[in-house]
Amino acid sequence: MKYSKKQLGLKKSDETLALVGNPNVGKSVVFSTLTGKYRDVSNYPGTTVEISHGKGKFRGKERTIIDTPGTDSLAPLSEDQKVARDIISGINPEKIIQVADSKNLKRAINLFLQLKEFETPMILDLNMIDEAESRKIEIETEALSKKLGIPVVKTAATERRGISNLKKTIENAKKPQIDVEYPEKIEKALNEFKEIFKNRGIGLLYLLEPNEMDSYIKNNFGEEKAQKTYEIYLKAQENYSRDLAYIINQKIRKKSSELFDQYVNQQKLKNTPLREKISNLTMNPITGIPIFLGVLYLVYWFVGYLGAQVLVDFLEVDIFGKIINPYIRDLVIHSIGKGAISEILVGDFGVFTIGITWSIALILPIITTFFLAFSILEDCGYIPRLTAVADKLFRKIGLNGKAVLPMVLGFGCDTMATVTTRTLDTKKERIIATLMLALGIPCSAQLGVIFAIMALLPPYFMYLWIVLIASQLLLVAWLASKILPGEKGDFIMELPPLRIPKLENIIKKTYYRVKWFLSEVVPIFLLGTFLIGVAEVTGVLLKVRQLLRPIVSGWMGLPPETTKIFILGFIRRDFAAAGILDLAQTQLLPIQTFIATVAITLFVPCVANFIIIIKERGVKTALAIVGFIIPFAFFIAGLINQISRILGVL
Amino acid sequence: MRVSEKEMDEALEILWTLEEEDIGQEEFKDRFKGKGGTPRHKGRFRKRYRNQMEDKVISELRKKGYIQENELELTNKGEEAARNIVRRHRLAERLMFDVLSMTEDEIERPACEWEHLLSEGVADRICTLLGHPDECPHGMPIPKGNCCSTEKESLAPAVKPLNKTKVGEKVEVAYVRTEQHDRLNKLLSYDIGPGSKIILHQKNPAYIVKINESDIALEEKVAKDIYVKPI
Repeated sequence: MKYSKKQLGLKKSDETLALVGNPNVGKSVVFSTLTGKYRDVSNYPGTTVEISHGKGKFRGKERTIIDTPGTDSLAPLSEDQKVARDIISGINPEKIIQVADSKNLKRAINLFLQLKEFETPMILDLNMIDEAESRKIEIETEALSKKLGIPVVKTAATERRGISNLKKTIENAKKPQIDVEYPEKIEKALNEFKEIFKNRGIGLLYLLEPNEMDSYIKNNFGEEKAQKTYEIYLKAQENYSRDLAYIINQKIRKKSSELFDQYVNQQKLKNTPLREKISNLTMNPITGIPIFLGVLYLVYWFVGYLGAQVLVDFLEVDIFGKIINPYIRDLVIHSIGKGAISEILVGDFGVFTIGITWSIALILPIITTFFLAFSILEDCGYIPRLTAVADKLFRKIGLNGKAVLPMVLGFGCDTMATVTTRTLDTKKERIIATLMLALGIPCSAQLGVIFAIMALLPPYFMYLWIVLIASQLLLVAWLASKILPGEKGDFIMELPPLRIPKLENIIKKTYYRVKWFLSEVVPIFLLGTFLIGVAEVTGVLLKVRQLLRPIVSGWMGLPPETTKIFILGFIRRDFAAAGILDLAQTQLLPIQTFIATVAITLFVPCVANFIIIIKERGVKTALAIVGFIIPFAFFIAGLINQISRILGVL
Repeated sequence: MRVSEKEMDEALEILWTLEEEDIGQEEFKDRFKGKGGTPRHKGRFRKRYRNQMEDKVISELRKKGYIQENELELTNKGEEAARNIVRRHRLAERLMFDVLSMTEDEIERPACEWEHLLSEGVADRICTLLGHPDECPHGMPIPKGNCCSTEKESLAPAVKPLNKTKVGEKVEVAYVRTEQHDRLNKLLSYDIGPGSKIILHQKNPAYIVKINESDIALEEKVAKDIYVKPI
């Protein structure tokens, strides 16, 4: 896809400024400081998978700033990384700020040497300069700036260091003046491309990735230009037995090595830094797994105990149960009397008694504690290290370690995690990961409620639940990997450095996520409870209950009241889980609670997730996924019921 | 004038490369289905072919049973002979590139000389020293020898795949095997390629290498494609 200004809602005359850079160099932080707009920022590559833009004023001039997902090459491999190319060739921004990780300058220069062929005025922002300094890396900024022909500034964006200087420098952006010594034949081809595309950039990308770029040019520049490009490429390639991509990459790397050696000095550190020692421990096979279990336990204690039990008890029982709800109920009944409307508002399944109470008293404390813990894990850089630990396991189910990231993010929100499956290399991997997320990765809200449910049951149910869900997930993914055609990509993944998380970012991130939950999710839930209230009053619910009776009561052995829960499950499974919690306290047997919980864990997460699956994977795949999951969830839950009957547990 | 051994060798080598090119053509066409591109090396090789393959050489090759009676195609015997020559040539290139650190442009001429001088035994030893490489520095396949299948390491190799490297060793990447374009590009994007210096942190459960200030995790399959030499 090619982006245009129109698509972003911009006018043709709007001056744009694109932030481009390798993954995980802090583009989003720079974006936030320049525009004042909040961006989700984390310490792993691929936090930003979509573009966003905002306005900033520099020396009195207003500009639109575009944040792009990080990429190491403009001839990209994965879907999210194509965005940077599409922005540069489609929107043709007036200026580019390349954000670089100062401690990994060589990779930044590799990218720069591709970028410069687009002949756009640029600035090089050496970000994370604080981390380079602590590693005793010195960069001769002025000399480098002279050599590249563009302004070079140093920033540590998380600390706002150097930002005002960056803002001041924006107007001084210049066209890069440095050449890579390409062989004559390649140089000739690049100049011929220039006549077609006005700069050598697109041609360079064509030589680097002819397959991918061929269809790109066909779609965006037309068949005729694509044919011309192809002919130039053939003529150039004829001279070499190796891929041109290889030769070009070698020349670029040679140049950046030269620049690096000339302008970057690193003193040797005497000892291995503590950071590195800890990093090794987290991935070592002997220490890695105990550390993982320890982290898991801490998160459980914080979210599952402190959040889901202590805080929830206090809010639900003491505040809402004893004070707020009785008061509201009296108030409503007093003012409008008993009847259908007050039933919908404050009845057993009322908008207030259930909708508001669950949202605020049950789910809010859980997701707040969860996102706090999760943000810390995200920012310290621990999560990507799990990819290395789990790679071998994931390869058995048609994925590789890279898929750990969307899976873990799924515990935060399945919908957002489904979007990040774009970082996976092949279509097959993306489908399997999407299926797993939808099938059995409970999101934070649901997980919290499940913790609360499990606290009511004998402890072995918790382990049983984990084993059951994990085994079903692995089984289904394994089957899918056998059935679906296609390959899995290589596992090659960068592990970001371990960092001490910044309190400010943790609090901000949690705040925005909770805010998102309150503003986007709670209204849906209120609407859901309202509709169910209406269905109850009008008798529709009774009909559905009778219809589902053979499945709910016959196969799964649950009381007919639970039908309501499954209807809620179609809207969001966390609310369905909250419904189970409610019933578990009053009328379900432990085994029934367990069966209902299993069914709802395996359910489709929520309407929003379903919509995102359609958007990312297409209607067909989305329907296939849901068409599989719902019967499967009921089947497995019922199976437990049948087995426990035979064993006489019930 | 008699046809020298060297001229024969050269002719055989060209015939081998031509056949290789024909196979390469098919793959190349596959990449651009329906485009019907012009053959990429045709011109170059035809030129070389005309200059050197004089009638005398051809008849001499025929007399020895190296090529078919009516066509310019290698017989089984000819293929065997050509394979050995090509193998020696490309191993020589690897040796000069990896161990003697010569550039790609510098190695072409000496390699041509070496291919006539090396005996099979010496070629096998070089092959072992280089960790039984699959490709010459230009990306062309090196025909396998006896030494490659037995894997008996009678001398310590100077260049070896990353999976045979010790944890904690600091090494320089000699080359990356390149059947897979995507894999090579991905590695290059992390700056893992000829000349980069890396440290192997661990092999299990995944390979972790440190390059500059980045830690990169790799699966074993990928590590096997990265050939390194000690610094």
